Amino acid sequence: MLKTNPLQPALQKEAEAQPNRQQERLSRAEALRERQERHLQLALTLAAPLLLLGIWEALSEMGILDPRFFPPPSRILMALWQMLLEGSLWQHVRISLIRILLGFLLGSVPGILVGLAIGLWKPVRALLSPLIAVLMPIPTMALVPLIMILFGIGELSKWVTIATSVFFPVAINTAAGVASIDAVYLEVARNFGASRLAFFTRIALPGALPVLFEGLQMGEAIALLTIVAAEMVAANSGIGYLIWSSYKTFQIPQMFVGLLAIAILGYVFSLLLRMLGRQLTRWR
Amino acid sequence: MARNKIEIRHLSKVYLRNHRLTQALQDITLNIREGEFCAIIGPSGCGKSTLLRLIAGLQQPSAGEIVLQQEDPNRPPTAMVFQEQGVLPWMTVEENVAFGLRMRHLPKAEIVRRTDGYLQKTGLTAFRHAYPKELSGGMKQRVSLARAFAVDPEILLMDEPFSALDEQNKFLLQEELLRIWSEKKRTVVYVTHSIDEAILLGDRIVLLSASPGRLASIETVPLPRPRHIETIRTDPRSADLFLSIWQHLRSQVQHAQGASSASNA
Ligand SMILES: Nc1ncnc2c1ncn2[C@@H]1O[C@H](COP(=O)(O)OP(=O)(O)O)[C@@H](O)[C@H]1O
Ligand SMILES: [Mg+2]
Repeated sequence: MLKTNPLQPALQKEAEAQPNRQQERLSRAEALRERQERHLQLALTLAAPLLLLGIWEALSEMGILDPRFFPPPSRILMALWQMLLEGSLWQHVRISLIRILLGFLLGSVPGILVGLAIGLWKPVRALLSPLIAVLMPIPTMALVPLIMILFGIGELSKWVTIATSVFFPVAINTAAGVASIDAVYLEVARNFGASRLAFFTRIALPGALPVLFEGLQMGEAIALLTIVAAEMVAANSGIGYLIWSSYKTFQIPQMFVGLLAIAILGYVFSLLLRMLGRQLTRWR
Repeated sequence: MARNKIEIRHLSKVYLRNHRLTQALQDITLNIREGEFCAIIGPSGCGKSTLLRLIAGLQQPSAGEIVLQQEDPNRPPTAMVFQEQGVLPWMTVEENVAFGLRMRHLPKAEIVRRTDGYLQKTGLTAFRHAYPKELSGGMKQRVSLARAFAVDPEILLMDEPFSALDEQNKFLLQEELLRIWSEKKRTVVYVTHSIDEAILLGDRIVLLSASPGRLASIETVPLPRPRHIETIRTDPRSADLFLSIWQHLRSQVQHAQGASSASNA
């Protein structure tokens, strides 16, 4: 049929290009489908909280929910706006942020070092494990009076409180991480002449990293818990203080702003930690 | 005749675990010569890995001694290619190959030179920045080989390095090993449970008896080098050797099974 067609060469070329073009079309369709799926998921993710807020707003406006205790979200937003303008919100958030970050560092760095030592050296394990096992179950909040006696009522005692609560999960998970390292890697290190330091930094630390990061995540959650509780009982600034003092002076919208702040802070903190962890354990 | 590189005298090793004694090796006396490729073969569980670990100094003998004749204090006495999973998963291919060199604190330029050289020799250059999880089993064992060769040890210890590979990959790696080894004939102690592999690679084959491992016999491989799989396979001398080793191993395994079923009864 095409034999006498003067367009034959062009058609042939077309036919050769066909598979390529077809592939392109397919991949474009696939990309579109994926995008649609993503958009749908995003819509669903946003729908649930928005719907909830809408219902809350309506119930509160209609008085079915007591607006004194559950002010409509629009009022909370207004309080948020006002506190942002005054700068009081930022002050509370900043002081809590500093406490959490410093406390987290002060607790996790020694936690990692002690955990590595426990995991690597039997004598250290024999020395420290029982101590940690006895100290760990004590809720950090129960130690707050003691910490204040030792470190005063200033910022230092807040950092120490958080550090204490972070230290244990990090140390225990790090030790477990070292224990999870396949024995053959330790033999490799010894056979190729690794020094004590290299053993620490090139075998134990990277090998323990996946489990260690689970410990950091736990530590982060506990740090958040501790800082709010500590600020409620023994501080005159910070998000915990904001929540508690707003409640006591019956400024309920402000209390909700505090809750929102701690939720966002916790979310961002754990997100950053997860990203860091994923980056550092790309080899898995 | 070359002098002795490894002297093993009345070596025994006993493990104590959960109050149970396991005798892994019993009264082994063996000399391995400088530059020799010594294959060690024996049924699984007869203490082959234990013997290598003892030579490497990763474990201490229960009785007897191992003497290594070290010539050059600047070279490591031993480097091991481990059975499986000896490649460090959190280091890239390149970092793994350079690991031993870094641990020995060689000058940076020397580390780069040797790492590049062995990456090339093992065909890993294109994968240098990959992590082990992205590699096939054969590629991982190439990394392990390159890492051990790169430190230029006086003695290479290999613990069934290719036993987990499929047959084609195994053949390829055996040839690569022979090629790299022939450049500079180091002393090699090569543990295997494959008779073919022992014949292809070894100058001598040491047969160990079933658990506890004792020295059963030593065979000399009468085949010229360089060796290739094709010629070795068709050589009647290798067929004879195969048969004699197999008969020996069969009696060992049957003996061990007989003993265990008798003790079970
Ligand atoms: N670390 C250890 N602790 C206790 N027993 C061991 C240990 N390593 C090996 N064994 C025992 O010693 C014997 C020899 O083991 P191995 O040297 O691994 O043999 P092979 O490599 O020939 O298979 C086995 O019975 C094994 O269970
Ligand atoms: Mg073994």
